[in-house]
Amino acid sequence: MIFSLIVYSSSGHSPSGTESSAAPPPGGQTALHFAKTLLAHGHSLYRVFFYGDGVHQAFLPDSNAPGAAAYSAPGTHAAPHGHTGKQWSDLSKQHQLDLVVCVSAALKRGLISEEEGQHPEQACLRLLPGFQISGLGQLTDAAIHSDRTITFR
Amino acid sequence: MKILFIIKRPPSDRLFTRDSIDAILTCSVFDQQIALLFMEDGVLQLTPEADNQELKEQLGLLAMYGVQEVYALRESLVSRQLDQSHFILPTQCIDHRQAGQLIASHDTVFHF
Repeated sequence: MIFSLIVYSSSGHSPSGTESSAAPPPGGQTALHFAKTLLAHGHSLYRVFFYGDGVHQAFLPDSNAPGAAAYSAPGTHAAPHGHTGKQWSDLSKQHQLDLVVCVSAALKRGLISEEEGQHPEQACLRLLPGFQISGLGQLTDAAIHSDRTITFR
Repeated sequence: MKILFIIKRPPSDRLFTRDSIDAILTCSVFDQQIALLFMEDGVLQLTPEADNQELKEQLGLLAMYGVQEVYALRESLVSRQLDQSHFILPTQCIDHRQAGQLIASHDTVFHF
């Protein structure tokens, strides 16, 4: 079966995330487990679309941001699951995944500049390997070409 | 293709309401058949009192984009003492059972 996933929530390190250590794993982490499991079962993953606060996962954390330390020290209190974006990157390398970051959601959250938004083919330096910036048309396209499109929020 | 959007965020979540409207308008541009189901705090987006002028203007565009099926969950309206006759969009009120049928009758459900 062909799946596409929409990752709508942050992995726990974003400024707008409100996860605490007592909260269940955020949607991004659940989506990652789901993706690994479906690939292990022989299904195919057409696209993972990062939207809403999920776009934070595609970028290296700002070294001044509160949760940035979690990138070099996974398992710390700030982000109990480490940096999910790095794990998506690794999974993408193994399975040639199409990881798409929504340009408008990234712009709205200040993760890319207006200029970078107009030239998404020039990937910005903070974008993790394996991710690409594109538009909402990719979301519609994913829904049309997949048997199941699942939102993780 | 029939796509249902389930909207649960209150109008005060400006970033998220912008995201959901953007996705709805994009899908409609691609000639997909769109329906919207507002539930929980999402129903507040339909009230004229919602303090989010940009959202109101964008919701007003929906009909122009061919989006005419708008539903709200009755239980969410009752618990918030809302009356759909004042809503800014013509809205059909449905119960949980009908919401289940609505979800089952669509090819894809986006949950924002």
